[in-house]
Amino acid sequence: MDSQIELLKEIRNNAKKVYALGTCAAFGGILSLSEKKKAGAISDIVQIDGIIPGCPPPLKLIGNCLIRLIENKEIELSEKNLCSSCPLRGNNNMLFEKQIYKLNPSGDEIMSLDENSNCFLNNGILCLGPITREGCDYKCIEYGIPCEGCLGPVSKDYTSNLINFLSLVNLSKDLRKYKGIFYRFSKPKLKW
Amino acid sequence: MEFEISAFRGFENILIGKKLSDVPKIISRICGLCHASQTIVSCKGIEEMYKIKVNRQSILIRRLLMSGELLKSHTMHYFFQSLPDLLNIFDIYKKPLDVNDLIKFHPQLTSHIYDIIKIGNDIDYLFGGRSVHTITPIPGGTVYRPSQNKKNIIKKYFLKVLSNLEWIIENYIDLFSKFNPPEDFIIPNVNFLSLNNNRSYDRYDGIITIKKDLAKRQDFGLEEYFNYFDKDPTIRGIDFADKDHNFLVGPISRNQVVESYGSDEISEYLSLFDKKWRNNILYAPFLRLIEMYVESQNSLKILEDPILKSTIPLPNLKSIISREGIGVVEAPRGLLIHHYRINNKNVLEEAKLFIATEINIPLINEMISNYARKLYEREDLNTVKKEIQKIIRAFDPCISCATH
Repeated sequence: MDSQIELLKEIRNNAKKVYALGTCAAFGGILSLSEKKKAGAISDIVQIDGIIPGCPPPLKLIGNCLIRLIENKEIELSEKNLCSSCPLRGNNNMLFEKQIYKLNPSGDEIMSLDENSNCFLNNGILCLGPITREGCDYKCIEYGIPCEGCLGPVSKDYTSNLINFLSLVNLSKDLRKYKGIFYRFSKPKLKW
Repeated sequence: MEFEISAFRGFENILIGKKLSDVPKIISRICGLCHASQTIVSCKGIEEMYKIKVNRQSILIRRLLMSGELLKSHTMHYFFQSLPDLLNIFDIYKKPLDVNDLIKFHPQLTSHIYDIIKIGNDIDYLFGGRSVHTITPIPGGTVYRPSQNKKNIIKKYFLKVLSNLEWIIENYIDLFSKFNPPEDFIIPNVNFLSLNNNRSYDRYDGIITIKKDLAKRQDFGLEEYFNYFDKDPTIRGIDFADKDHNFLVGPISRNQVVESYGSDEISEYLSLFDKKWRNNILYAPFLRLIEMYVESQNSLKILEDPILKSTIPLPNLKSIISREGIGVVEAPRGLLIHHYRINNKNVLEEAKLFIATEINIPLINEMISNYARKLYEREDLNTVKKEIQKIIRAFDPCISCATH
């Protein structure tokens, strides 16, 4: 671990620009789930010029970021959440009073998903779209799987967004006790 | 001299307390190269607990995903790791090669290789939803939305891979088949360990076989694995019942255990290499090319299967029958086993992950120690360090998986 920190500092000292590629480097990533290990964003250790999030970062996002860097422009990430471009959004408004009681849809719910389907949250399935940055082309949603938040927080103030979200949804007792839903990819780094 | 992977992420610990439907998504993040194998073996372990029979369509899609992953993983290893070493070892190219040298050495080979890497990515993207950390394999089956167009694209991809591979294999034979492999790279007496289906090549289904001293075979079912090896998930490393001989997994073990790859072209290609190659670690790069060829042929057959035309419902997983579940596949680097146990609240209580590179590490260390001892009599320490890396690279160790 120490040698990796040294390497990171050396990179910072020698590079004109340093970007955190992927959700692990940007926010701590899946190791945020660990209770024994401390996972961290590289921006905890060195100053960075920006992030390219995602687990994995979507191909288009990497491509667009590289083009901007070659053109000597800053990377621009969307400031919108996944719901803003979600194909299931047009069909209905979110019914916030509905109880959210499961993490994953059942086999028949997955297979019956089409363009007329209801929002996952309205079906009692937890989807992190409202507090996750857009930019992944909602691939999981297309295959009937709710967003698990791998692109990380949508805005720089993740904590207040999360509190707003939790105040609106009605989580079941079982899910309230379940650890690692909201901080799966970004526990150590709520801001960057 | 020792090859040691010092970092450690503790996935076996992270999984404790997790719901079963969550496990494959988390486990995929162990590795960006063998993510499909990791996800699929995790699903298989969980399906054991529900005693669910996965439908044939789902299995075929999983096989396609594993083939896409194998194409990408094996090609990158061949071009960036094996080929520069082989050109050096057989004195075809005297200086150490970097990527630019390789491109100059053979532009056509480079373009064939990059085609295959891209196609491997695209196969996993089209059938898995993403080219890394695939979305579609879930406990109970594989999410699949049939599309003729998608199938036609993939068919063209595999035909392209086959034609590129024929060229690459023939190029490989021209370059290396005339040589005798160096003795320093001979694999000592080991237990070859691999999944196989009635002695045929199969990375998804079958029994496990240990082959010792190139002759004795021991077949056993997955549920008996702990008679041969086991681990304490809180401590790194795997304990083997046979304390005298190390274990090897990966293409060479698959080749030792399997009697048929199910293809005539393959038998012809294999016959061009002398017997001396068979227990030499430098045979692995050629076998990787062979496996890519076999899987591309098999994938073309899968794409013709009429079952891919229909929409098949996935089961709703309700009642857990067994508190323990074990899953097995052959990942590109070798045997991969996940063993899960849940508590009375149906969340994971213990996870044991047997990862290919972890199985190979004791053998890698045996081979590099022997080689280093011999080299040190005539070379300086820096040369020794550089030379033993050739053995390590030939094993294709996955640092990411080994630090799970």
